Amino acid sequence: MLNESQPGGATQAIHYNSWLANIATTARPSGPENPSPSLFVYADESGIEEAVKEQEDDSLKWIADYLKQWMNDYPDKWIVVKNKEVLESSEDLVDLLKRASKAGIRNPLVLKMEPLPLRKWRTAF
Amino acid sequence: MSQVKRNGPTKKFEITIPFTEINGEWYPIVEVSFRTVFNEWLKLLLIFDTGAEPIVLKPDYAHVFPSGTEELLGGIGEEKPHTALATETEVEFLGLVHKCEIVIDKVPKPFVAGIFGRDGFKAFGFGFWESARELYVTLKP
Repeated sequence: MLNESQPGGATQAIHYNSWLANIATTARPSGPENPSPSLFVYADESGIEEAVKEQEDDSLKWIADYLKQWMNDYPDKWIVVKNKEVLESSEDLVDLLKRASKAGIRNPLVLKMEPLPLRKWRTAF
Repeated sequence: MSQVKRNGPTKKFEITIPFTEINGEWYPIVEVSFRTVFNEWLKLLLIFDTGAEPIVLKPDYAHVFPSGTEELLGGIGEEKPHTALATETEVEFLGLVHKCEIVIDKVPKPFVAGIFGRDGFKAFGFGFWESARELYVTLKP
């Protein structure tokens, strides 16, 4: 099962990150002697490094290369992607998550292969 | 209107997130993880959006999150707000985990799972350079 306490993997000690409290308008920076009431918590240092590395390394450039192919191969399906490969696919999201869990894939990157519009439009959210 | 030139503060960013090309268009897309009702995590691709307040996910994802309550949500093209489902779960971005409200509503963009609004930003500093197609992040704002 994948019910670890952190998305990156194994259960890790969590500590309040003191400098995060500086986002508040406090005159006294937070620190060990002045703990922050912040609800934000970090995984340990290795967890941060891993997350940052993943975001930078996996720059999603592959999307432009593979997206159309996957949309043809898995129309309207949910897929789990890792290292530019489709590891699991399903027509149902819950079923896909179960499959990913069974396969030992932690924190799977899930995409839905919705058809791209033939005519483009601009968006204003 | 006159423009006043000011020297802004120097900001440093440790992380660069390049925009992503989808169907010939470039978007600031970030990877964000969510804890599901199954007590497992899944990672989704969201559009970084400084104009949005909440994190918004498409209705397709609603059934893997706790049932929520109805809230009013307004958007471009609407004169009046409409009701949308709001729920809460743990959210992870760049190693930082926090409990956050997420709103379930239609997002008119294929491929992405939703919008990463400012509720997800609070602990970070962001820089945005459209012409360079890069998003900059600091974990020490």
